[in-house]
Amino acid sequence: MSTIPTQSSKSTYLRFWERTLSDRRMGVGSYVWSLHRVTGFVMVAYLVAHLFVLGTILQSGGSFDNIMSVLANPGVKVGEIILIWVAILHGVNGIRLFALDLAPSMNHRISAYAVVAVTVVLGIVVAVFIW
Amino acid sequence: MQRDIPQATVWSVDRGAEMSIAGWLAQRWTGVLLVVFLLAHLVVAHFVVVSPTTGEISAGEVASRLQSGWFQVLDMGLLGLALYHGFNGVLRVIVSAGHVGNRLYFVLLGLFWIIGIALTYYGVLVFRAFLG
Repeated sequence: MSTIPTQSSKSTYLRFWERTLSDRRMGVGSYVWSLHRVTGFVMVAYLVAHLFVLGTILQSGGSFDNIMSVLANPGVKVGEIILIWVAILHGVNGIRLFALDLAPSMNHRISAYAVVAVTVVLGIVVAVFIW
Repeated sequence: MQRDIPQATVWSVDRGAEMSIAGWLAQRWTGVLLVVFLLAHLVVAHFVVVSPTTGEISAGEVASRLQSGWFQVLDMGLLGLALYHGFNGVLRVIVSAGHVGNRLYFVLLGLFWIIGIALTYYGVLVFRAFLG
């Protein structure tokens, strides 16, 4: 914290990325950890919502078919793709955490980068497949 | 020497610092199982069953898929595992924020278990409604 240059000629954006990638401040692993928590919350909320959407089958009348036809709208695909990215990040980082528990000598930084890479690759593959 | 003196029970421990091995492993293993179950669920329920013309999922197709035992295991397992893993995770996040003593911890734990069981029951009702 004592070495923040105030007169640097580099842009704030460039300095942020230099710091993050060199792990002098928050490293990639910290961001992945924060995202892991955020995606976890999002998925719990989605799970409850999903249950109640399915629960429309319990109501008389066409509530289930109504909501299914609303969800067949092609714009919903964007939300689906975002949700799948959320799930992929949480799952891949979760596996990384389990591996870190079982093999503590694994490098935290490299595995964090691997998580980001795998998430982006899988996410793009699935997004192309859904679209 | 420590054992000779009767110690008073400390009720104000910070619950964020400890977790049983069983709970830890349960969270890890439910996570791994969920990756498998979720993958299967997405492939089956959202790619195979969707009607190719309208992109809609009809209740009849869901019902016919749920006749098979494997799909029943898939859906019910996914429900239980996801609720357990999710609420356990939320509890862990709340507790790790600090200042959660024994009493508050058990209140939260009970709350999450009650909500979890209630949602599981709701899920079983929905499940049976699909089966007809």
